[in-house]
Amino acid sequence: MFKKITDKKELDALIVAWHSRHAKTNFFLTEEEYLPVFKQFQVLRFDQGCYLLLEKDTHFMFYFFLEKAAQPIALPPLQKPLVLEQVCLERKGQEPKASVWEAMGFVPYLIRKRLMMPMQTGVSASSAPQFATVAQADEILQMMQENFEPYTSALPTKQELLASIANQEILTAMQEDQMLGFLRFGAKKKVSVLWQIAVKAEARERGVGRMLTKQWIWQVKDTALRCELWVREDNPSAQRMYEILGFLPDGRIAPVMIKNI
Amino acid sequence: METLLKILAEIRPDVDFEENKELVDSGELDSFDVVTLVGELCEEYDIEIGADDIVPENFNSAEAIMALVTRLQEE
Repeated sequence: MFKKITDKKELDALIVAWHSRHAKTNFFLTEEEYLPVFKQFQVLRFDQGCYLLLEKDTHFMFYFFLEKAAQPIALPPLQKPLVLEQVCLERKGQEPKASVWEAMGFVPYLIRKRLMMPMQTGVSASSAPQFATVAQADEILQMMQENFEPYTSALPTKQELLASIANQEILTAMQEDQMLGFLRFGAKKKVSVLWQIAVKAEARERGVGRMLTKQWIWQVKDTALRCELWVREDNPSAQRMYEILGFLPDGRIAPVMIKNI
Repeated sequence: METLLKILAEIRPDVDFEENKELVDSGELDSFDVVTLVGELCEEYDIEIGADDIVPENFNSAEAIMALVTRLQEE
């Protein structure tokens, strides 16, 4: 039933063709994003579509292309859970719908909402930024592992984290020599993206997250057109904090579903 | 142009499409936006946008998008 594709050119052609035929898809990676991981994709082609599986340590990221009127077909047995993230416009919703995936064994996992803020001069940082140092890398990694769900939080490898530190893209909140929290950001062209922010449990409710967020905005105000972040729908307090700072939903959501083995 | 601006505003209400002339190059529109926009344009204007035309220069400004639509309508 499935045909495996191992040639990158063949896959490129298929991706472009599907996009221009308006196939249903959750694959919006740009060429520079998927090129480095191309060899790790298992590509399964079938009559009216294609699945792309990207193997991670604990799971597969699951991407699909489906002809307009087609429905997904059953998957082959796999050794790890499948994670399906469908970025979509909130007013239109997932396509295919969640119920179609549920019939295939996927269950809803979480929903994220995107917030945007055009650069404004109203936000000012109340204190000088403190950038993370190489010596703090392991502590930050550990905080990431403790604070974020493992499948879709875009957690960096240690090497990527060290690159962020070298680029001064991780801000820390310190109390004497104790780290209370951190914020990691990066640039997507002229848009600055908040990748991860975490505050230690004992330092919460003290405005640490807000201070880090304001420092990030202040830090990129001269270079970025806007600031962007994704927030979980089940985290209304974080959402409220961002909205107070001037972030607004841009109408885009990303529901995530998981199919366990 | 009014219809186009309405389509654009529905996809990205936060972007100033009349001012920004480097929508794709600046990262204001990402690949998700472009693919969504292609679908909406094809439906609204009854055109087919081929793979060769899905390039940043055709989507960097409202004028460029309108020019693409007009060209495809004439073809």
